Amino acid sequence: VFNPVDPVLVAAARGGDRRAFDELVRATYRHVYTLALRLTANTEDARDVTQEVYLRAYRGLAGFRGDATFDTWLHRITVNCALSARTRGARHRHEPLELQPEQAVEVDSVGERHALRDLLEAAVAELPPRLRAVVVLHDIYDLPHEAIGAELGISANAAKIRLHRARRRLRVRLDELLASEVRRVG
Amino acid sequence: VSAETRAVFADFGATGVAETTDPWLRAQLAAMRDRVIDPGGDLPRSIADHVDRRVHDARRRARRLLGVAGAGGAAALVVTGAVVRTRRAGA
Repeated sequence: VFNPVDPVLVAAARGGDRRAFDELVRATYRHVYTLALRLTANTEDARDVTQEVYLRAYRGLAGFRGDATFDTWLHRITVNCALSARTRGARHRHEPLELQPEQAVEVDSVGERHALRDLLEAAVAELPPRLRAVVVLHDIYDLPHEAIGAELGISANAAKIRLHRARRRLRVRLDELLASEVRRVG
Repeated sequence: VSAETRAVFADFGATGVAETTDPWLRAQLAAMRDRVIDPGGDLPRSIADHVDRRVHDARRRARRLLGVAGAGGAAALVVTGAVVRTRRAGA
């Protein structure tokens, strides 16, 4: 699900090569952070999750058998850590991710595409956590309903229903954000 | 703000996303996968520090609880999951 990682590097890290592990971190941390940020919608939580992911990966590398690719394995650890952080976050809430005005509208040649994309990122971030998780995992990361259900501890059917609700709320919220943006730039 | 940007927003504002843009929405969501967000700053370094610190702490706890001396033995405890067990034991 993330970009493939060099198996030689993975083998070296499994063998205890700390530099190889550091290289694995450098090759993958942006992807891990991005997924964590989309699932938690909070930059500090996402940084904490990213650290925790690599601690778990470091501990688990010796037992990593290669049944899945390393990037798939890392993706699953990230989802698990982010969902755990989300549960903890319900008790220790921080400021949620907000759309920054300077991100909302850009004026370069692909500015309008970026502006719409940023609105969409904001709309996804504003979804309630249980709805956000299914949109992120299915519509962005293309995970099947069965896998999402397994990650969330619900059935595949429940995941489908949740996704339907999430998309509906997303469309409504995006509509509101776009209308607001039209008024702002118009 | 460019005239082009205004036009794009005006289009969406006029038609409404809720009823008309599901394919667009799905395509945009799928495209987000390729957008990687860089946290900036010192995250790779802080990850390395975090792993070092947590592993060091875990080794120390494992040594203390199980009476295993020496870095080699402690490292074996870490990789075999003894750290998790010592933590559950309240070490």
